[in-house]
Amino acid sequence: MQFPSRKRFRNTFSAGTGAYPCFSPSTRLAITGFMVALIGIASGWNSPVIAQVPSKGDKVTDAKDAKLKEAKADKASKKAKAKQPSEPQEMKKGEPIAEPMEDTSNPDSPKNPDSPKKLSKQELQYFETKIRPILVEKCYSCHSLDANMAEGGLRLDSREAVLRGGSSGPAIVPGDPTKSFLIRAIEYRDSDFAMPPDEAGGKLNDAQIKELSRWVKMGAPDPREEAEHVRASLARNELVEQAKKWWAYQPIASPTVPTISAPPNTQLSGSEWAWNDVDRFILAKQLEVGVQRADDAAPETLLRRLSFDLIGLPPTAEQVQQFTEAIEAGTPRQQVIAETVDRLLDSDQYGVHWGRHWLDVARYGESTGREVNLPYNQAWRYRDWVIDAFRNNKPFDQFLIDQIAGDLLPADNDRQSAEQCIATGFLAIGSRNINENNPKQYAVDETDEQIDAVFQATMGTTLACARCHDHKFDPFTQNDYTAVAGIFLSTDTRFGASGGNNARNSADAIELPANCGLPALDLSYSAEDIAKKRGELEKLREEIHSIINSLESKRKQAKNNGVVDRSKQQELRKLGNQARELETQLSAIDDSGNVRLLAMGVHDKPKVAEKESEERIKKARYLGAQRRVAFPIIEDSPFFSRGDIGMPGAKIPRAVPNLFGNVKAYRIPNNTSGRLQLAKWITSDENPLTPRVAVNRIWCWMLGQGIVDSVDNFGTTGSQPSHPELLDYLSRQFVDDGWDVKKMIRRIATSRTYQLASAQTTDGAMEKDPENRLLWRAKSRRLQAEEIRDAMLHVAGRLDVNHHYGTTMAKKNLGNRIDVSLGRKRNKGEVVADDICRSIYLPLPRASLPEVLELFDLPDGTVVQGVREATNVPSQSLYLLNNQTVAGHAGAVVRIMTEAIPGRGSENFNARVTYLYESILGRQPIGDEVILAEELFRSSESSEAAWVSMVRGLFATAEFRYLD
Amino acid sequence: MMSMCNTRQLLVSRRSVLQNTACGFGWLAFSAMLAKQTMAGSRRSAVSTSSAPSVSGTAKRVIFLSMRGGPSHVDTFDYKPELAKVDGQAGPRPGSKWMKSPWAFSQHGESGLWISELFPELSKAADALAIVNSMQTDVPAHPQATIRMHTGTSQFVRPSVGSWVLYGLGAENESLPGFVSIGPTGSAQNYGNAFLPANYQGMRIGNGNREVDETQISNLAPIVGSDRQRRELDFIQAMNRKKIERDSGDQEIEGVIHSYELAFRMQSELPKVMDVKSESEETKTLYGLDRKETKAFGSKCLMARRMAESGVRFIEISHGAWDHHNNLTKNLLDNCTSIDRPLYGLLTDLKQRGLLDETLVVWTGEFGRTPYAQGRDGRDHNHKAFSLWMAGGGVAAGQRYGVSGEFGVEATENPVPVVDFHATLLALLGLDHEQLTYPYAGRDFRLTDTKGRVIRDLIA
Repeated sequence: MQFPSRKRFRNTFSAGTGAYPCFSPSTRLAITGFMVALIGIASGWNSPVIAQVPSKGDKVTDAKDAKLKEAKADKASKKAKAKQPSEPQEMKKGEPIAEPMEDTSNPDSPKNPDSPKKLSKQELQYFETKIRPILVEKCYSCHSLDANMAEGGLRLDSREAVLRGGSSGPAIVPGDPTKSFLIRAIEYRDSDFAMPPDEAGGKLNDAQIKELSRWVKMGAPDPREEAEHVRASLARNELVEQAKKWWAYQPIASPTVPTISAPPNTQLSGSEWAWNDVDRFILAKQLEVGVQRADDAAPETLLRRLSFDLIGLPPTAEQVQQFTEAIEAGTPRQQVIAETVDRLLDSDQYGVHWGRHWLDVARYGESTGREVNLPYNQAWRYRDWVIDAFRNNKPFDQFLIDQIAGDLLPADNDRQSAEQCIATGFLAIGSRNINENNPKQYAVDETDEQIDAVFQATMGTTLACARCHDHKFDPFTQNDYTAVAGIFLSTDTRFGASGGNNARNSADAIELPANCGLPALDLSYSAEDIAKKRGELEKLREEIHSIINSLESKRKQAKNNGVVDRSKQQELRKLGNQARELETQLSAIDDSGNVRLLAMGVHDKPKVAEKESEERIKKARYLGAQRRVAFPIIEDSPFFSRGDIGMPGAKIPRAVPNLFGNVKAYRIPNNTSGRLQLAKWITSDENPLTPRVAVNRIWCWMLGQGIVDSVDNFGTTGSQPSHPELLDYLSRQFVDDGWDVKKMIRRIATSRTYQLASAQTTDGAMEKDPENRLLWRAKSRRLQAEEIRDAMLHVAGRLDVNHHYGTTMAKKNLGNRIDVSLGRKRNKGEVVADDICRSIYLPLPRASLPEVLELFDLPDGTVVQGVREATNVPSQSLYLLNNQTVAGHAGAVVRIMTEAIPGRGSENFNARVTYLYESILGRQPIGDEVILAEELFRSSESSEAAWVSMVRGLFATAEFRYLD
Repeated sequence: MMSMCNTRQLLVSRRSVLQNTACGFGWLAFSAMLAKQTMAGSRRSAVSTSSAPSVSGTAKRVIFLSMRGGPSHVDTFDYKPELAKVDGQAGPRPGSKWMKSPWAFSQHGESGLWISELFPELSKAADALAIVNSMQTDVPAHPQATIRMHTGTSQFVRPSVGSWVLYGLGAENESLPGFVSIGPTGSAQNYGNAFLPANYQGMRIGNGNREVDETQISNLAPIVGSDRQRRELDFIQAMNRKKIERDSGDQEIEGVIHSYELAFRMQSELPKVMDVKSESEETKTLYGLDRKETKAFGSKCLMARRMAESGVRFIEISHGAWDHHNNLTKNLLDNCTSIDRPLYGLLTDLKQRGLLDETLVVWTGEFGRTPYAQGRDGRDHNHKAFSLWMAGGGVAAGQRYGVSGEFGVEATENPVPVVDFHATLLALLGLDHEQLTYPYAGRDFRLTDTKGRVIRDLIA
């Protein structure tokens, strides 16, 4: 049983931001029914009744009864297997209807649908609007080629199949509903043979039953020449057309910047107030509604905001002083700010802070998560690549392309080739159920996770919802999903964790070119050590080999596949796990004892399958390893009915989603997975989502709230933009600037809107716009987990801001194990060397995150998460009050203070208090705050303890935790 | 609306208090007192202004035993003799086959309740149970169904039932969290406060099925003397209050202030309450702490009783892995064994201490399982019928309520949707589900939203 993490839940179920949640195939089924019902209500999914069939007394002959009984028995005993088409078929859509039906056909004159006679327009429309939706929704799941099922030998997915019928004869007698087996079944005439059964949704409603009867009476006009594998219906098309009108799918407009004429009700005329175009868009709306803006933020507040927002660290006291003095000395405010923004954007720490933003989106984590939690010892390379990409201001479109298809791009040298490979770590770092014992299931789950991440991260699109059914809210069909799924099924994901009984699905990491110039992990093994491990491994392998051989010969003697000696198996399992542990450890080192350059990432699968070795078969049989890779070559994905791998239908050619009418321009050649085409499509000019989503994320990370609230979901269940013109204006600018992230940040940071005070004004803005959608003040935000920890270390003079290669997790090279104490030992106050690095470099195994980060809401990397939660709970208070590490930081601050202001005399008391306020809160004490501090000293304890108390107290204040 | 008025009053009073009193530590107690009044006020409103049938429940707290994964009802508390007769025959889902329970059922106590042999110990307390066999939920998927069971809806983020109960009844003990979730798995929404103020959020202790002890609440032990800490807290809260004054009553800062108040008091109280080691050997044995297979769940039950005794309003214990798609015969047995003795111990102990009448114990999963087989030895999800039981807290015990058809496929008589269960649970606590509201996004919200029906037959 797997529960998606709470984050996923919040995201998927929040009102307004909800994506349709997807779960295991068995559960999806029922959700579908439930959601279909909802949609039915919302969009008139169910076809209205247009005609009634006069009911005649239905008499049933004995012969017919006998037939029914026979069918029932047959149903229980047989399950006919539908032949699977080997050739990919093109998707077929419900044909359009030109005009509404007029009831001119004569229902009493049956036609012979057996011949491929052309149907009248009315007949066609009747079938398409009334009959097909019922068959698709209610019958295909058990009676179609697509479902790979034909219960009772009956398929209902083509004209020919309906007439041929199943084991009980033809399903219908055209023109005679009462003699038609199908009609009897849906009317529930025979309680033993009532269709659809409860489990498939239960009895049809009266209207549906009447429609089908009427259709049979009409002679069952049916245009379906061949089995359909696509659940397209007119209702569906209507939904798609409707969804396509959603704002986010429209091309990016080119709005003109509003001109602001001097408004009567503001202190400043618009042209004076606005500093750049961002302000003009924002101001125009404020004036329209008539809300009063807050004042500009105080200089020290503004610097603290800029510093945390751009580099995730507080300014030093000197920086505050310089900044404030410059403004007070009359240097134009805009100039001072612009210079500061440039300084911060040029800082190496910018990459660390903004890289971490992307890691939230990229669901970064350093282990497989789920039931069996194995470490990803190479995840850090992707982390570093992200940091560098932000640092070097890699154009954002290229940033995305690299992560989806870097390995498929040409490279000038080994270094570039290595980096492009590392970038694809994005596709490999998701959590995975490494213990899944069905290789097919594993493969499609992995693919699904990748699709979900790629589409949410880049386009704010929940394509993964269309895994088991057409998307319920957005214009994606299950076909679109399947076409994309083929791309990822053709991709070999090398996450770098070894297999075994507890982890049946293994994947080696990718070895980077030896001369790529990237640093190796700092692992030191003595030759002795390596030799010893190798010796142990060899011994284990021999033991395993001999046990397997003896079991194998017993098996052959007994000619019994199923029975093996259980105690031996237990032993094998144990030895196997030990061996894999060593294998993983040794895999980090090459033959000559050097540390190998490994990375997580992806490759295209081969074009031709490799033969499975005898060794592998044995290993699978006795050691629980996966016998073979499902989908071993580049190939299209079958259409899995209801997402169930047990029900594969025709293969759907790999393609980008059919959303912007440009599928053909991104045709995928046979010999490649198609990731490159997908990446290019995602960043193409025709795709309005990607720039909008990117700009909105940047906006949200700067202002604490997106122009579109649901930053990860731009679909129809997401939010409307508060400032659509501004969003399009910025998106256009972004693309025109070459997807320049720093430039976009600079544009926002130098706007006056960004620089407002966070205090509430008193003239009613709060009443008019309590949510601050109009941005009439700055939104105060709680610092992120990393900011809280890093800021404490920073103030304590301990923070090591240098880049840290690797992580403690990988450096320990524990093989398959996660040292749970990595995240937790900080409880006990141990300060290890790694403890002073920036938080981004701490080990982040899923479900075992470092305490301080988890307490302050670090996402666990299970899902794409563009916005963090910000809770205030007692466990955080307890951490700040009682944790030894925090106390250690406080002590360090006191030591620095004492060095700076050595005199203990009362003349220095104020200076010291001021020093602490400045370094911790970025401001001087105001009002009676010095007197407040004196209270801390009214005790018999040493003044040293009181100073520590004060520092810890300042760390613990809401003011430290909140950024105004 | 009553509650909102009170919240506003609280803010106003709190602010005026801040302005007028010296920043002594007594302030903490004062604000707690105010908070208590507020909560009492809202409870009164929920009770007294009721126009619906009068709510008479007397339970003061809840111990909510959440069996994650969907325990099979037809193998535990829903006796289906007819199922045995069709064993192996074609079931209702295409290709399915009925599967009888591998376990025998027998009648217990004066009430003669049918309980499976999986619960030999609990069966001794059969007369304390009110078994509902006709529970229903809407989606047979774990996360949604679990969240629905906990918050009433899986479509939106809404306060959990524990948060509502705490909001309605207020904290009994200001030194302890009013809502505790022991060993939860899955979404934090299951103990989340959503739009209710942050102090109604459940406090998580431990994670999953692992054993839980007091050391798992990190940073509980003060690292400085009490005088030092008192001064430090005074300083922190004074600074926080100054910030509130500057920011005209920011709600989030209120949350920070509250978190320190509670954190401070919890330091001394919570370890004591969680320390099950101090119990007598006899009691420990009663809960099965002497046996490996029952120790983990038994300790949690014992801890729950101690919390109940100390005034925690809502205590949830999660117990995982009831998702028996396969290996039902072994795994369901193991699961039931691990909880059987502790359940009996809990009910017995509560009764002996005179706490059972005022403590409502609920045992439930998020849905049930199919009476037909999945694979050779498993059952699939079933949301159309499942069973839960309640004990103590004014429940009309010794009865079996509702029927899940002949075989347990779907509730046929007196179906109880989750929302009705919630309404009933609140009623047992003396809360009218239609009156217990909180204003949010322009309207008054309730746990049962626009629905909910109190099932009178379940109330003594």
